[in-house]
Amino acid sequence: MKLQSLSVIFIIIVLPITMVLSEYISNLIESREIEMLYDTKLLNSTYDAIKAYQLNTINNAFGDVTTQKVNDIEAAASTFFNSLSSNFNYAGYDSNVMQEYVSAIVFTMNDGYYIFSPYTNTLTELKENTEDDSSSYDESYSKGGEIKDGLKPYVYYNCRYVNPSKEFDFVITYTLDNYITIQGMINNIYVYDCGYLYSIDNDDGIKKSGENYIYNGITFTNSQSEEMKEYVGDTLYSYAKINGKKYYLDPNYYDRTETKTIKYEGNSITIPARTGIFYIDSTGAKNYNQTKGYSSSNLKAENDEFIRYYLAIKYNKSAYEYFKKAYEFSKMAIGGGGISGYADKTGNTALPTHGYRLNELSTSDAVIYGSTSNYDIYKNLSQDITNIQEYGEFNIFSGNDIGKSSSNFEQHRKAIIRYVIETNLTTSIASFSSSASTDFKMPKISEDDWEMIENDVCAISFMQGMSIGSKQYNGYAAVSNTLGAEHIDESDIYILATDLNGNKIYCKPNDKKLEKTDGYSVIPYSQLGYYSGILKLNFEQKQDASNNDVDTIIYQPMSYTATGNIRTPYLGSYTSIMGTSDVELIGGGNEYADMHSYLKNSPINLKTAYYNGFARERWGSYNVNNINYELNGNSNGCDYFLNDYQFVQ
Amino acid sequence: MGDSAITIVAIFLAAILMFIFPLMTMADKTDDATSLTIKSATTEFTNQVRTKGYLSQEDYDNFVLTIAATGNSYDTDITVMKLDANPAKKVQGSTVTIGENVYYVMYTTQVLEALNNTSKLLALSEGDIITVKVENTNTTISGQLRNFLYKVTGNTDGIIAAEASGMVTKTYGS
Repeated sequence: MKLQSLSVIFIIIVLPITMVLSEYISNLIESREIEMLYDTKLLNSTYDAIKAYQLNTINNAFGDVTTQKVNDIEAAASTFFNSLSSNFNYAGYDSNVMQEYVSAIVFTMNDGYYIFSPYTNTLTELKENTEDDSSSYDESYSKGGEIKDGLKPYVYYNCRYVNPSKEFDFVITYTLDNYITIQGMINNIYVYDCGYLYSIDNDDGIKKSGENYIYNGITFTNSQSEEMKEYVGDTLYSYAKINGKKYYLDPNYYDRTETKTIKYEGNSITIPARTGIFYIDSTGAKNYNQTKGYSSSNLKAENDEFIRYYLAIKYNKSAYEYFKKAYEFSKMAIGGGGISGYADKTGNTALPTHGYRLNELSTSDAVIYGSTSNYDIYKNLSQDITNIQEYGEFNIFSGNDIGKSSSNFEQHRKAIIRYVIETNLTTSIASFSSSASTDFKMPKISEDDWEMIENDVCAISFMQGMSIGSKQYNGYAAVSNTLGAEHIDESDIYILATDLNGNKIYCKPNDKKLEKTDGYSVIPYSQLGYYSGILKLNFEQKQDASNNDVDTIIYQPMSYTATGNIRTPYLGSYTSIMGTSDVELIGGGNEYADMHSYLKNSPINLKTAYYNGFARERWGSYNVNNINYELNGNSNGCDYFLNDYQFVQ
Repeated sequence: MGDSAITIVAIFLAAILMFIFPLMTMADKTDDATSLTIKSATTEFTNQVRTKGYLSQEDYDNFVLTIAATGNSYDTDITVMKLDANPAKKVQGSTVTIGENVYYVMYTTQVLEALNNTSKLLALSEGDIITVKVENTNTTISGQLRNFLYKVTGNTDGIIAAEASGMVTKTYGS
């Protein structure tokens, strides 16, 4: 055969192979590129959803109340779909077009999470007319058997523990911090209790000295109180935050001239009856209906209620109450009990003699709901789920560092959060795929993202099923929400300070310039009437919609009056809020594992400001266990907030 | 005479078709695959920084290792635009802002310098923008072949480039 023929044959063989191969490779490359593009689009839309949620919660005093939260989440989900459809150039069409590709959006909250995903509407009704099956409902609104998108019931970060030999059978609900709720049987006694858990009676935890409590070198006493102040619109009001809701004191609301003198903590206090108390309601207006104010024509109970609100605003001692209640709860939970008169949330004082003995609780006591056989959750389960055993067997509440990031408790808390999310989410995504043509699995969430989910309020969105050439897309995006009142993190407290030029600023507690001669000095209590540790959310600008006739006023709640009576907002520090040049980095392999260890050796002024702010905000934050029990506690008489402000007529 | 001329042409043709053509195709495909690796590494790196809210030496090293594993040398440009939006500057009674949302820019040298501190970390804030650009500096085999074969418009290096950017979604330490 001639050389020419050989080459022709060679070409005939090689050319198709090369063409097919190159086509295949470029196909793969194309799908990978589309996949990356989609990843970025999904991340951007998830960020939009978080932003929408933040905006709604900041400008809404009820942003953390459950029903309002559900509304805010639904609004965030709808923002997500709008954003996603415009990212995918479907804007203008039906915005639901992307819904068939989104298997789930998870909104993690402080003590559990919501899944927004498609579900089958199981509306059942008795037909009005059995003959023609006609319905009495408007079926255009809701119809049985339809697939709809919506929030599934809230899932708590729960774990059940059973160990007959230790007489344990109870459930612990974990949160993003050291707040836990215990419900169940200990020593055959039913216990329902909750609180912030700390190590007690050691240097890393809370110590008790007489009636005072000491944490990280700061002493909290019953007699120290604050009067918080912030602007609403144009006026500076005193306020107190109770169960996530701010109550403001208006000194000139009622047209009343009388006064009332009472005795509180040994001092006589005169309360003018002109005083009104309001909160900002969901329309953005001032609402004075919470109390009736003081008047001799009111019922005694109404007056007493008002006076307690008044005392709570003028003599706020949330910081002390926080550490006191945390100490008492921790003593019951892990310190062997023995607090006389201590009642749990059901009002029961006949609690186990040695407390709840949580220090004896081991990770191997964890079981699945409804199962009596031990070790289930511990050894378990399918490949998709990280089981608890992987973390090892240890006593969950042992060690002296509960409340800190290095503790066993922290490790187990994260394991439970991860376990709870993984189990429910795999089911949710699997049931989504049962209605789709392809089989979907939950994508693997990276360890970095898990770390974020276990410590922050987050949105995680899952998108799958879009054809991207050689395969189908299956990806997720997780974005954290660091601006919310839902969960008070140790980094959520900013410090009010004065810089070298005398400007008033706010900065992070781990700003290295704080309390340095060439840096900032913490504004003292004597100047403000309150400790200068402030929740970072208070520095966000707000809208005052109380006067509908004029334009909405945008204002900064945290402002002060400078010389010449000019109202000036506190400015964010350039070294820690705007920039990060002087921030001592905390966590993640840095010198200090958490804020508490950083503050250990900090100047006392800074520590006092920080811990008072931190404890005050936590004690005043919304908690589902305290719902509507501001005044007298729950129906079992369990006290909360205002019950700590007892006075003598 | 005519026959041998044709034979010489045929040998040339055969050489091009049998060796250079497959070689070029394969080299091109290698570049494509490399380019894919670089693109996905760059996008992943950028998205990671965006969600984590910081750039650490470790992440940067891993990224450089991943792209270096493709056998080429690269020029990596990281540009961080830091948002300087002091929200407290907003004036009472109106939404007019003084000195609104200004960005100042850190280029690769400054970014790497910032990484060179005790914590090996550059903390970012929500709203910052990070852009990562990668481009090869050596001439790949495909580039060499192309230069050899159709050297009309000057040398090309066989560009493998990737770019990814986005807004940071989390403030570090919050």
